[in-house]
Amino acid sequence: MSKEVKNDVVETNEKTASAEKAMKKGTVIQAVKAIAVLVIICLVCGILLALCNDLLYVSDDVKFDRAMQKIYPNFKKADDSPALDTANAKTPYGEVLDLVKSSDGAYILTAKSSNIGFSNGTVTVYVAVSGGENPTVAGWSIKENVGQSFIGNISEKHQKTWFIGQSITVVNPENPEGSGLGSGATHTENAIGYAINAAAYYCINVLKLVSTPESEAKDALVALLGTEYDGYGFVAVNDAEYLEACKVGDKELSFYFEGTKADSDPLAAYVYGEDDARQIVVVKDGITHAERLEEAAVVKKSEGIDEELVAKAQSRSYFEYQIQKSHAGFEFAGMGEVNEEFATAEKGTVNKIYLSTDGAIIVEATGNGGFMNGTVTINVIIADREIKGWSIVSNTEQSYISNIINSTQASTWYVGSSIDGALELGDNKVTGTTMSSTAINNAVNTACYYARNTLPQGGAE
Amino acid sequence: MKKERFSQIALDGLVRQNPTFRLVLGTCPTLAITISAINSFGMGMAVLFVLVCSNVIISLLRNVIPDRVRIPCFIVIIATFVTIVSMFMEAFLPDLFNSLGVFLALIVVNCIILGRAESFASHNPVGASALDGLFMGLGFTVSVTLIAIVRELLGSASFFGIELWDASKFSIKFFTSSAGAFLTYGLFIAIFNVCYNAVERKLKHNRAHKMLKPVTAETAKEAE
Repeated sequence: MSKEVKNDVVETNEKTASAEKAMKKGTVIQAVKAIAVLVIICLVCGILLALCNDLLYVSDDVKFDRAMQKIYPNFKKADDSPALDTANAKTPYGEVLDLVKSSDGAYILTAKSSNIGFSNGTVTVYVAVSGGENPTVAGWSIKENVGQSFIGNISEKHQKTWFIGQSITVVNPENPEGSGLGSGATHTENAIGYAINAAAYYCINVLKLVSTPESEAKDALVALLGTEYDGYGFVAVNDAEYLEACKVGDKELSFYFEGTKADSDPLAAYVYGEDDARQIVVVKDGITHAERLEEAAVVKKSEGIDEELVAKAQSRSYFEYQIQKSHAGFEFAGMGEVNEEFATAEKGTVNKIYLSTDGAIIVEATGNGGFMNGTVTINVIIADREIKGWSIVSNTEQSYISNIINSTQASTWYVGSSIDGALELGDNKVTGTTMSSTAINNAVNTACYYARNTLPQGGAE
Repeated sequence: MKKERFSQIALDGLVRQNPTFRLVLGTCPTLAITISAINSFGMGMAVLFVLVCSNVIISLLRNVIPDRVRIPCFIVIIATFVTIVSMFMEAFLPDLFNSLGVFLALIVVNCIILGRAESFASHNPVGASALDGLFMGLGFTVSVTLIAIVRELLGSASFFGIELWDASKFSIKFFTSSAGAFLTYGLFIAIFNVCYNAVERKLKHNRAHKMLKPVTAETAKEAE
């Protein structure tokens, strides 16, 4: 290769390298420019957004007020908004989850129904209860639900009309299901009714927004018992016949309460008269302990109480009344010995046997499988190999057991059934208490299993 | 700007390139929010605002934004305006904000906005881009509001939230369902396109007719 050609090649190579270098430099500059532009745009947008955020920020308090104003237009959170009383948040209709007070005295409660909705689901609602002398349901709206496929049928129109303006004392005391509202989602509708009733119940019994004769009697009872008996949960037993049976002369029994507390003896409270003339006597035993049917110990009584009323309370135990109502010939003859061989069945156990002079027995049995895996203990009266009646003695974790205690539907269960076969409730369970009903059914079958294996004419299975 | 250019942009946005009925863009919000006319109108206004603002800014920066990072830049700009709209609605129109829910935030990825930024605003001057945003936004707003009016009327017996008759006596719940949304949308597209094609054919025919020279004695002689 000549020297000139060689020089040309070197020169060309140098030029190519230089061009490549320039191109690389150009590419880097372009990349840097692209990144710089993107970064600048991001920064400017960020600053703009920060400014807007400063101007348009909506605080959590404002958001909360707005959400509440949808249900109750005059809502403004009060400074003295009370905390939820969690110990009393569970009601016979459902559970109150939260509450907030408005500056005008109204309350907005978040209440969840018991499991009575579609597919045993629940509905949680916000319920606004107005203040004043006669608190009413001022508004409500659905917060959330579990398994309510047809919740969409409950329109905004329904939420603006159903229950609105009703006094919390009469929201639906007899029929919380509110049937006939006609939404096409009956179970969901029932759950809504229960949730609203739960809120109303809490307003009456815990917030004391309104006083009913029952709540006044309960307050007087709690005041009489004092702190020594703190923690007892009292449920009014609305058995008109029993109230009538406890009449002393012209003095009528206004209310009969049963009180229970974990690991404590149950109490029975008899309230006669109202206001200043109210007289209360509280007894223990005599409710569930048939050994002392006529010696129910007096726990507390009003000052200067008519001794006749005390004697009546001691002698007219609800336990005895219920037994004799189911089996008039029952006369307590003493305690029977539990035959351990048949005391434990598949889903329950037998605890006690009460004997009657006419051969009838009362089997106290505990059934498993209740709500929250709790149990229900019941007395089953058996005579002539037939169930004459039954009553609930105690329970664990069964929040809605009072629905069964006060249910006329439940009072007819099993009566007249033979003890020789398995008993099923089927669809006859009390709405909203499916699990407790199951536990009762297990207890009844346990009692029957015991009775058919131990009573005369019954051979071992 | 020439009058012809203005009318061309306006016609494109409202009719010829109507984003909902002709280009079938922004289908997700169209199907989801047309259950109520108020929601649809609110959504339309939000899209209009974002379209105008993003088109203006992108057009202004069209010579500054390098080609290789144009999409990230567009997204950042669009997202900024969507966030501003969202903040504004939350502060002043909380009911509408709650009703639109996630679809408000999803305006960021609305094909109409990104499409106009990419195909128009990044190649045209500010004025034209703003007009394009305005008319595209109006086209979208009118379309979704029309669909919503029909669905609300038949499904809920109301018009812009005002109850016209008792829905329990007559209403076709199907129209409030997703399937009802698809059907209504499909019918609107069909009707719009049938009308559009008919008008266009007629216009073409008229244009062609005008272009033909009238036959006179002189022209006939020339032809001979």
